[in-house]
Amino acid sequence: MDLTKYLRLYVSETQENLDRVAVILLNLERQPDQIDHVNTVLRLFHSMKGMSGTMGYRPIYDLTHVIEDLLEVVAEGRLKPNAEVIDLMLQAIDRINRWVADVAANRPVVNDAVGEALVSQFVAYREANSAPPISAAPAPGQVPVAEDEDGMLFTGDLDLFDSDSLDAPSTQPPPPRSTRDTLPYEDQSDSGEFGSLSGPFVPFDVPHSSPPGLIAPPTLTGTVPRPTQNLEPQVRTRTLRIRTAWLDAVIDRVGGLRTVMEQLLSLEPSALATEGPPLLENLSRGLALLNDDAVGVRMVPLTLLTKRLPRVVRDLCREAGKRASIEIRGDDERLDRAVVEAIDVPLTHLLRNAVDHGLEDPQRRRDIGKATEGQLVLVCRQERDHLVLELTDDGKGIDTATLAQRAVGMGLLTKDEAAHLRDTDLTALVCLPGLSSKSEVTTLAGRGVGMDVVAETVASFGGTLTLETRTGLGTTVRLTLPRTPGVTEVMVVDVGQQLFAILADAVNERLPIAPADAIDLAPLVDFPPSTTPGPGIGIETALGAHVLRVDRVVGQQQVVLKPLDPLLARVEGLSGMTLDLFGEPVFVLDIERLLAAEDKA
Amino acid sequence: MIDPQLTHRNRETVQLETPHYALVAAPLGREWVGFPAEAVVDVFSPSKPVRVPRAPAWVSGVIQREGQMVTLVDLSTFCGLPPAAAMDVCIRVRVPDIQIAFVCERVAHIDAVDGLPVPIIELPLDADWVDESLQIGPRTVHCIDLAALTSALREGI
Repeated sequence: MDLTKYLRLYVSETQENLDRVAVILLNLERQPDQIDHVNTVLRLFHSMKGMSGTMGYRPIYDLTHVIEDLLEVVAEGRLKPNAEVIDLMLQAIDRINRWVADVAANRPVVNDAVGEALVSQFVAYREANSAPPISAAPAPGQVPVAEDEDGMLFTGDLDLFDSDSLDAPSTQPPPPRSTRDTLPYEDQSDSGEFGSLSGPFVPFDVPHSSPPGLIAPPTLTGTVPRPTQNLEPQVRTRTLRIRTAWLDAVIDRVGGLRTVMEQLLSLEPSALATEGPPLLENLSRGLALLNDDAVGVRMVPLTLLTKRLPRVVRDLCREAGKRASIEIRGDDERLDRAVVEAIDVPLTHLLRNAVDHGLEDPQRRRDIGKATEGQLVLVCRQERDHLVLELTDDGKGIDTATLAQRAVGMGLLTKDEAAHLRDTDLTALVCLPGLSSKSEVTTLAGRGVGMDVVAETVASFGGTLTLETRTGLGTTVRLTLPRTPGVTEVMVVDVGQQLFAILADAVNERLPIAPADAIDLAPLVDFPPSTTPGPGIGIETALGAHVLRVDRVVGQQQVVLKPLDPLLARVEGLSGMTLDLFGEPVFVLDIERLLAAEDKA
Repeated sequence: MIDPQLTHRNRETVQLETPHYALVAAPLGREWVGFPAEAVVDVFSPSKPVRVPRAPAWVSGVIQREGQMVTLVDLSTFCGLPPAAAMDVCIRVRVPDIQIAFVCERVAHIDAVDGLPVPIIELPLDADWVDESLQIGPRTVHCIDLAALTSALREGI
């Protein structure tokens, strides 16, 4: 039986389930009496176990089986879901996640010391807290078949299974044997396609990695190598689920456009002048709607990104010996999936900085009259066609004086500039790699490591980063992101009879225009210097405010931004391309880099 | 039959049995370079390209073709040879993640079953993007390893 066609589905559903479990476990840690949480987690693990068994991933099956066993003990009230239990569950999630990544990469799912130790830990916990006999993990070759409760998920659909391989299929539903059978499995449909599959359980072909007798006797502490914290990028949107209704609507729209096209093509030349324009208008409107459809399907909820942040904060705090919680507001907003994927790592950097360097340790917080638990707040909100993510901590803030002193020492600022440091200067300084990564001062001050990378990533798709800090009160980092990075507002200018675009975000029309002091853009883009004085454009970059002289300002436009040809990726000062009205390429200039390159030259 | 001892580059790729060369070739100085025919997307006359600021001289510009931005490359300049007398034709090739159009004076299609290995005379000696050099009929043709050439171009920017 070929199960490979279910691989992608298995991967995406298991990852989703693991994400959900992680969120619920963190809630459970805070609200240990919420039995609903336990039941939900139990149901999700049960679903994962069934799917993994069907697919033949024995290590995942084994681990989820013992997790279920322990969750039963928790559900029956014989074990409190304390931090130690939650830790163990989260470590198991990490391990399963890595196995699922192996599945996604077509690598074999192989058990290892971590997996075996985890199984032993779960069994030990269960034994230590369970009066009734333990339902041991199935031995090799003894994977439960028809009478196992797992059959509840897989009953009846022989399309997935080879009926010849089934041992004694049961025609009767099995009697409930444990808590999990009587759990309110309220909605199997959220297991997606797998949830609708059913059939007797199929024996594994995969041998157990080690005989049960060889597994080291479990102990309650210290047997599981603690995995590195779960801070790797986690947002996975390689596959998108779309509603069939959406697909139908798009097909209908394309059909409508085809009809209009045919009407246009069938027009007699004499009728073109009168009947052509309304048809062209229809065509244009239809294409615009189709574009909206296409852009819309790329939009994914921010929860895809934010749902794992409580776990990240928890792990960071445990590592740093600090206490903090994160409050997330407005994450029902939707954002282009490329942006969501791209800011996953930067956001983790920001959280790490906030926890590692921003928040004081609990004792210090108590001494200065703050709550021992630090507060992180992530606010997501829409501002025009941008989405703003604002991460605020109530830590000690950045020591701007020391930072400025350091910048003066490195020749980045004059003493006078350092004395009048503005927020924009602060952002620029914190994002300078030389200052942030090499300076002990900035690290101690609370920001720096990786901020240059964060700023660069955000800028790479047209976003901006700003920063505000108040000594002793905390810091706010604000990411302003385009909702649809493909469509961008630019200022189009003419230099040497070639059009160039400048991201509108960089243009500051309020800057006083003094063409006499303006920088001629022409030599920066390899054209001879302008001989006639043209208009000036105010530009604000991290390097400061500048006025650029161009031959002509064509105007501000919304354009579809295309990435540079990989061959040109290393050409300095270009950030992308677009097309003008006649289909000619137009380069989007990165003014900051152009100026920096010119300075270097 | 090709004597493998005479091939000075990438001997593994020289077929001893029935060699077959399907190439789209363009003059380069006094010799020719041959692009593997299966990698050639099309051959066309370019419209006026848009200049690429701060790019090396061998980047002739960028054009939009069938919705794709395509970079035009002058291989003669890249090799340090005098630029082609005319740039009337482009050979657009596809390598895994990129399309490049090589500008040239004219194009010849080569479909040969044999060729006599010859040493590179005119191309830079470090042109490790030449897979093998052959005498095919009256022409000296350097068969291009497109992946290696693309790497060399990227390195050159």
